Amino acid sequence: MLAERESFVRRARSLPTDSKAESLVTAVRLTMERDDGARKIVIFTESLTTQNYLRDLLMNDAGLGDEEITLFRGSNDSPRALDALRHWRDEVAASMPAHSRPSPSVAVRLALVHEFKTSSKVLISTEAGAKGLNLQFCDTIINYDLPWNPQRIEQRIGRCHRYGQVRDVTVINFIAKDNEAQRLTFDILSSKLDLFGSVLDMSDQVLQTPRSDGSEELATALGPEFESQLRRIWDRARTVEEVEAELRRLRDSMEDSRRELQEIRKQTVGLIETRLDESVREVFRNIRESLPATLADFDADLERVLLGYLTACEIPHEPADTGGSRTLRIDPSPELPGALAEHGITVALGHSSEDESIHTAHPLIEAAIANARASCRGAYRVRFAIADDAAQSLQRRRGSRGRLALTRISYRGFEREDRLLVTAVFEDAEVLQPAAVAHELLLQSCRDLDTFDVPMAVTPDDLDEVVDEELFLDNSAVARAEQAAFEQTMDQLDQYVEDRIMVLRRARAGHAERLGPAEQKRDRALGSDARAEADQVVKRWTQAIERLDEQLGKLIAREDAVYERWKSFAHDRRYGGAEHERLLEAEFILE
Amino acid sequence: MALTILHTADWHLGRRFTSFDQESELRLTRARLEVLSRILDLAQSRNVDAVLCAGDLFDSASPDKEWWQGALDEFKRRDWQRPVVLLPGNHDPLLPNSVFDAHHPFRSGLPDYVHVVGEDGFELPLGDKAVVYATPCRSHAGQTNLASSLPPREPGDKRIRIGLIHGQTFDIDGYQTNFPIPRGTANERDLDYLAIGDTHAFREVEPNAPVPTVYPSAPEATNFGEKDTGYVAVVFFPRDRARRALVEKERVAAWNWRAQTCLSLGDLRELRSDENLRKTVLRLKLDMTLPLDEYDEAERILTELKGSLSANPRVGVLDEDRSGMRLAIGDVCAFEQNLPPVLQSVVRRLQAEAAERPEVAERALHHLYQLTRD
Repeated sequence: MLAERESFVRRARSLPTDSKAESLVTAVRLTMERDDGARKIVIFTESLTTQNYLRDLLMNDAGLGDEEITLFRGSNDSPRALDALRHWRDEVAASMPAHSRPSPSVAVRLALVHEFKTSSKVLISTEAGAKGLNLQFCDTIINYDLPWNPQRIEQRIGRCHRYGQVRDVTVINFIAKDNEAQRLTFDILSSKLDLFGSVLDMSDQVLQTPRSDGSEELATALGPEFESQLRRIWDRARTVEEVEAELRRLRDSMEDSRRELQEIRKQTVGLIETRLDESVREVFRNIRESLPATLADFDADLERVLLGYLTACEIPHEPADTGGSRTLRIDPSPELPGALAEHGITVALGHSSEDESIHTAHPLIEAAIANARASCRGAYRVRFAIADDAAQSLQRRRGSRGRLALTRISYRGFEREDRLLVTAVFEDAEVLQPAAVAHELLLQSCRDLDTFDVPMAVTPDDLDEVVDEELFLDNSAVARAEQAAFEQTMDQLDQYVEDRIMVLRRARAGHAERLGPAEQKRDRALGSDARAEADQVVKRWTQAIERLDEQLGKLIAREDAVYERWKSFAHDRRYGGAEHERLLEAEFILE
Repeated sequence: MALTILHTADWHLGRRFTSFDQESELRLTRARLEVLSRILDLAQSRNVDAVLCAGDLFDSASPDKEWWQGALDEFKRRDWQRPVVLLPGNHDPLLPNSVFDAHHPFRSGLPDYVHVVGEDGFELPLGDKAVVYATPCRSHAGQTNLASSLPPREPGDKRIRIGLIHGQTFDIDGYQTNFPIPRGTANERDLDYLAIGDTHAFREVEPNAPVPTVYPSAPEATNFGEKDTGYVAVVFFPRDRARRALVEKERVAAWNWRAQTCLSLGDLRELRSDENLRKTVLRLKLDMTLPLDEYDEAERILTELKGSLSANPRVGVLDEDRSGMRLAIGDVCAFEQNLPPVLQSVVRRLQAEAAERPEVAERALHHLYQLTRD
């Protein structure tokens, strides 16, 4: 293995020139000489080593000075980056209000962008730079390494090709001409996924804006799948020919996916043009013509709720006239909520610039609704007029009586969800099903009844029993989805620990490799000093291995604070239970 | 108000998995205690009125302290009122000095809400609406029908009656029975539900019978070949015994157990493409004779399944039997032709050696193939 690696190094060193590097230097020079460009270049690479290599290369061969090159990486803590941060604080942050100054990690990113914008010419960025930066003042992107995931390429391009960009953006990709597999990969990325081609251009022209979502949506839809397929091909194939054959197959399948996505997109655009415009016009028409009347109706409803509440609770109130708007003076009463009980209140019915208007979240309205809910349990009676187009199972029940409940179930697991459960039980003990029909019952027009001539045969206990059963079944149905989410979360958590275990094992294997020769050296050492020194080395490796073993033991036994915390979180989500509240209960007759 | 219970059985705490490596054994034994936590969390989440465990909580009558202490800690950390009933089964029968003996620190340390069925004719009312009747196993094997000691319904008793026993039903022909439970027992004893434990698959015995008799399954499987394990039963009883109890099967297990034999490289490739292996305990038997290049690919797939220092294992716990995976010794000519003469002679010697020590010769040939392939 070692000999093999040494032969790679020898072969690499014997190469007369780095033609890829030469091409980069040429590309940088040509860009800098363009009269119509911004003379700013972002170079993307996937490795920190390459990033340093490219900086040296451009300084030595492209005639750029150190101050003309900005390096951007995941952790920007180099002295150069800290210098940039100091400048940015003096030049930009000093004039920012204190509350809007960013965190240190964001500040250093902004500082490096500021340096690139104002003084340097080339930004060499690792993958960390490809997200979130605004580089629209730059018009040339060089992909020195091409990632396999088209979504990441899209993100890179998106740094420059975005709102605010006034020039055409040039994207230069580096491909080895004689590497058929790499060429095919690029072919898929460029022509089949349209990353650098027609979609960007066409969408720009059609929509007159840079950065339409066309290519990004394509990349997002196909990106992860594409990347995993590429990885699979490279992992599994045993010869270059196999790689090429697999890539050709992938290219063809991507072409199909692309066509399918574009077709869907075309249809969507068509829908937007033909339908949504009309819908938008309709909305505006409604706002202009119907909204005032609707709001007036709504205000009238609120007024009816409020007056009903005040009257039912015998809270003294009287209309008052305060210069144009209608108001209501409500006297203090122990029945009123909060501080209103002591002071009373004057509220406006409808819009008023003088007094507080009532609205749905007003304490008076909330109290009115709570009071109405409390009072409509038990002896509340309604007559439903079943519409002619209602479900058959409702229509054939005309003349039947029963008891119904509306229950809200709140799930707070992995999926947070509130469900409304309508339960209606007829006097012959039949339960109105399915759930959709039970919900439809509540949408039928109805009016209140004072009493029934004959007492209702379905008791509140009968209804409770059916509600309990439906709650039980609903809980079971939700539990199945929650269990799947729980298992997935626990699996991810285990993977996290397994990854850490693997890293420690790798380190342990490295230490163990060093321990053997160290022990040999100690055994062969001549003289007490040399032996003591060699013994120290052995002890150091032994202790390091013991420390790793201890950490490994804890992780294997899952004695780890992070693991425990997330496990507890997952348990809380999965087994948090549901809460339910009876919102309404009534006796009914269907007509 | 209606009544809901959680019915579980066959935890087999203390079961050892000595055929696995130490780390895998640790993971599987830890899962047994963790599932107890999940079961009790689920009971709380479903707000059940009682938890019934129908025997074989422990794998033996005298488990090691770590097991009963683990279970005890799990009960003690909950501030509960809802009763939990623990029934001694045939693996953990009620014997003097056993874990369920009144003087054992497990039993004496249990919080008040946990009840051990410590005598025949055990009876526990659940409020005034239901009652649990139970009888413990007092030996590892027996021919007694334990259900016969459950008392008949008293005249005028309208309560929901739940039976809790451990034993084997007669519904599988030819199945050897231990503590037999005759057909129709639940109906005959006028019960509303018969909660049983012993066999490890979730099963509603006689699904069309008016009264459900249910095995809730082992919540974590104990061996390969067990089907439909990993569940508990959550049971809803309509008020006043108006209708048959509703039985819902809820999954609580972390692991799936699976035994598979691969007869070809294709089988092995298909296995590798399975995305659900990480939470699987897999017993993999290889029975195939392969030419060198395919043998090499099979080795690489096995490494992927087992994991290495550079990649996590694809399989959660792997028990691999590769004694049936053989190299087609006579099929190495093409490989041999491209070698220098000295290595050709090595290949021929190894081929000859294969008659005496096939496994060693095959591994050596494969090793040579790997070294010279590139």
